[in-house]
Amino acid sequence: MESMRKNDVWMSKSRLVAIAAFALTAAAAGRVMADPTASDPGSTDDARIARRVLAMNRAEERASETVKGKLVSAAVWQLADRMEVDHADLDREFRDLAAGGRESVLDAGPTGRPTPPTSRGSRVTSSRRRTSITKSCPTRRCSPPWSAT
Amino acid sequence: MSHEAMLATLERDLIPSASSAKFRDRLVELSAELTAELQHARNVQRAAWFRKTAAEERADISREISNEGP
Repeated sequence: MESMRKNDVWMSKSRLVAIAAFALTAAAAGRVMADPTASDPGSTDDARIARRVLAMNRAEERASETVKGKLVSAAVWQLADRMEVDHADLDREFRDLAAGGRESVLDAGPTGRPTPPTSRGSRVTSSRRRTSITKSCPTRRCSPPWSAT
Repeated sequence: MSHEAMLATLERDLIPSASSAKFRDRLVELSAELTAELQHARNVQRAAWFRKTAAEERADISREISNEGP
């Protein structure tokens, strides 16, 4: 009886995880589709392209933030967290270019990334992104809810 | 899904429209990063599906065992 109850709880958790993963992608998709800037056919210059990338990126960021608090699975929570970090990085990188500023990916070094204050080679960025996930939750204080139990 | 839409937009519209070679390279790099992220999301979804299926099978088995009374 007890094991059946545990199984039921486990199954409902699994379903919740599947629903959350679906919601994570579906909500973001809906926002991108609904974004007016995402369907602008006349964007030819780089600043406009950067603005479109930013618009899509921000929609995904919002979707991650929205569903993150409702997630119960560690893997899905980490995915949402990673998406948040990645998209925040991208936002910083493209913001200046989208605004037509001087510091942008066009001023970048050989890797195509902006030069200082932070050098951003793709491998460096990827490893920094991975570490920033763990760094963002160094204590139990900001850990996902299931890790507190 | 959203990553797919973003990737499609990048590859179909934005990368070919970029006027600067460096910017185009960065967009290509971004496209590769998004592809990796999408793959990771699919892996997570697949893992969740496997866990769910395993849980259902365990539940079925325990139900069968509990029904096998004397």
